[in-house]
Amino acid sequence: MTVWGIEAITLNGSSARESLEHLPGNGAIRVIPEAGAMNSVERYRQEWQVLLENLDADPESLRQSAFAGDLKMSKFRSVHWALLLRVLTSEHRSWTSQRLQQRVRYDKFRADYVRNPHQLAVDCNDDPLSQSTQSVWNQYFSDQDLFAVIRQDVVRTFPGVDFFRKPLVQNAMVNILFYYAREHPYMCYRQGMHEILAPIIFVVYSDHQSLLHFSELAKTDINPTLLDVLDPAYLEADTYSLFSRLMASVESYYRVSNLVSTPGGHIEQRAESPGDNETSTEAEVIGQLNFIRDKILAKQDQHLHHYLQKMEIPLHIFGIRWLRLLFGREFMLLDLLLLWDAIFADSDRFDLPNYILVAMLVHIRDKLLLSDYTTSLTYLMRYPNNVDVHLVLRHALFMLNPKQFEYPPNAFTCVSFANSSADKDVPPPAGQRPRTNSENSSMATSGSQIDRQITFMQERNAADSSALAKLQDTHRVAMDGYLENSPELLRLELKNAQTVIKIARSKLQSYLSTVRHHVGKQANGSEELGRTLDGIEELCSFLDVKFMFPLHQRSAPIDQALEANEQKQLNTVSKPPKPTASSTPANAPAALSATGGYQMPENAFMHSSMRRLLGELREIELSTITSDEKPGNAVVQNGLPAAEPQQRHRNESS
Amino acid sequence: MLVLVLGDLHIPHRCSSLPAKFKKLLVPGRIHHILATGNICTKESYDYLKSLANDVHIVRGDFDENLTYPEQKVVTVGQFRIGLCHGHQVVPRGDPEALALIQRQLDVDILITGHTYKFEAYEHGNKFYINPGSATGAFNPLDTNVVPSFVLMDIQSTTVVTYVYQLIGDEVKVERIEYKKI
Repeated sequence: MTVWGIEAITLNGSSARESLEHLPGNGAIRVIPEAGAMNSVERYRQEWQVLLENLDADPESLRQSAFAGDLKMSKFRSVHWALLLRVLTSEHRSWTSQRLQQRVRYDKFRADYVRNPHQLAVDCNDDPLSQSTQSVWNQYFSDQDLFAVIRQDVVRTFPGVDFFRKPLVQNAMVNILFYYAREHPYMCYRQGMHEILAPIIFVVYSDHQSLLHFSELAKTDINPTLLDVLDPAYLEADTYSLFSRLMASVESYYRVSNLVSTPGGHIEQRAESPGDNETSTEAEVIGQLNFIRDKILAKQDQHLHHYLQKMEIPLHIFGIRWLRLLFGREFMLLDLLLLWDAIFADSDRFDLPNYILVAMLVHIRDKLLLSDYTTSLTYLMRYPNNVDVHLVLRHALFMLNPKQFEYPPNAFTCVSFANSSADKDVPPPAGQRPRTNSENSSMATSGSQIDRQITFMQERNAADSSALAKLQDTHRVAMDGYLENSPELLRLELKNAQTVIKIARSKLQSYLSTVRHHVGKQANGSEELGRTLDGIEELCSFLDVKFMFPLHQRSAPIDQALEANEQKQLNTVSKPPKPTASSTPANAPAALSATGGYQMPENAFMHSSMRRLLGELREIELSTITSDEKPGNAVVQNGLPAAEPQQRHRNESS
Repeated sequence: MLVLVLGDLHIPHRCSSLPAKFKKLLVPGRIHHILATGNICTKESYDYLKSLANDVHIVRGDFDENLTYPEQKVVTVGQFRIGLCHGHQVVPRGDPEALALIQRQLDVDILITGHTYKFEAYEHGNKFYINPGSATGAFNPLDTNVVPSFVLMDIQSTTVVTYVYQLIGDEVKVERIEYKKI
């Protein structure tokens, strides 16, 4: 039924009317189908008449109708093809003799090329095991091999179309391909030729079926030339004429150089295995594909040409098959016939396939340009079936002859995109770590704790440096995301400086405590050394200025809750220079008084010095009263806890 | 269809292999059936015949190692019944009357025997008798000059065209004999 369906499509619905005729019914129903059938008969007859008149008036007008796609519904497509390919001349009165000549020649093939030595009176010098090239037996066995190769290809023609499963069609195809191979030894049989033959025999067979239907309906008054030209008995011969003429135009696609043709043809057929020849020798079709790429595609679409070169996709990966089969696998059969109408209309030069190939590439350029290598190859090896064949054809015709064919209005518009990469937003650095106030810990920590803290600060400094480096790297990549005076950058730099200052202050305090410890042990420190140590302590306090700000902020809520006496103490604390200055003379007399205390009870000379010491003691008492809070800190900082009980002892003795 | 008839190879006892010119002629793909008259001797020789054609029929000769080969065999090719026998059982050896006796026993149109190491093809009593000779030209104590030979039969419906290939000197000579079934 599928086969009939295909023919029904070709016959433009006349089969439906025929089925109506067979239905039982009243006379009214029968009259209407007959009228429809008569209309179909008249249209068929008129089409033939118009064809003949056009040939008399303007033979070249056939090419225009083929270019325009008007042959789609024609019942005489095979006749058009024969005219376009010059199998038949435009002088239609001599068609009968031309057809006769072709059919006689085809019948001669059967006599020449199919010789069964079993049934022939062969030469007495010949024998079945002969290896001679003149041997009929040798040729016979080679032909058996060739038949087997051809048949296994023919059986797989157009797998989805039931028309090609018919034994009649398959046998005809095998015979035609065999005779072509024997008639053209330099070509032999090559895989793919069966796909060139298939649409031709389909069209010829369809025209024959149309004539048979027309004959049934008309019954009389049929043009004798028409009956002869479309005689179904000569399906093979007429198809062979079209096929061999078409192969003459496309043989450059199949021809492989460096091959020597032999008279027999069968030895060459054995020597030629398609795989070996394709790899070792340069096929002519590859040169043509290079011409298409460099001369046509590069001119039409520079971006696509550059893209295929960059991706290293040579045209002959897919182009050999496209050209050898004349795009037989890329389009549906009925769409393919439209393409072939136009290709045959240009059959004198046969340039249109080159432009069709470029048009097919241009029409999938969006898919190709946005795809990677694998996806691009997939599109090229399995051409998308949603591409409009009319659009491809009109684009190809425009490229072929811009003066004669106008540019298709809805053709592809070539838009070039700016070659720019997307700007990446670099996320800002992670939130800053909460700053821990380690002043208290630094004052109370020992050497090991100070070392651990220094290590921690160095690690944090390294982290900050890496964050800064990342920020600078980001600056190079993303211009739009960076400000010259970025607060983040300033904050990072400030944090880095604070870290350095904190480390320096901790180290200075550690060194100061160590030096003072050693000075105490030696017990012969000079005033200059004392001033030096005091200077170092001042530097520590200077380095601590920045860390006073958080202290100040912290002391703010304490102000609100303090009582009157505590407020006075706070005022005392708010004057740090004075306690420092006053503590300097206090320490020196303390040391002197300690030394004098040890020698007093031994001799009377010390009594006068004792009076002077008592006078100084009064001054010490006054200063102690004024700075009640600070002496505790001073004692802790100086590391001299023993001085206080001596003072109390002197007070009791006085 | 083409039927190859050969026998008395005696490989490796009396000869090392088939003549090179015969080997060159025997290519796979052309011959459909092989009828061997016996004295194939080894399995390797049988495998070689198998490589030429799938259908191989063998009868047992007096020097065959394989004891399962039959003494006689009848094969039908087309419309011809063909009888196969080595011939060492025939007394006197190669005598037409003795062979005619076997032909009547087997009731065949063509009788094929060997053992004499000499090609013969003749018609006797409306029946056809073929002896392909020795394909290797093996040693024979009764004959000092053995000509290597084999036979190829082209069998159509009622006609047999027999081609005899003989290695005379260094050349292969081909004779053609036609026989029609009555």
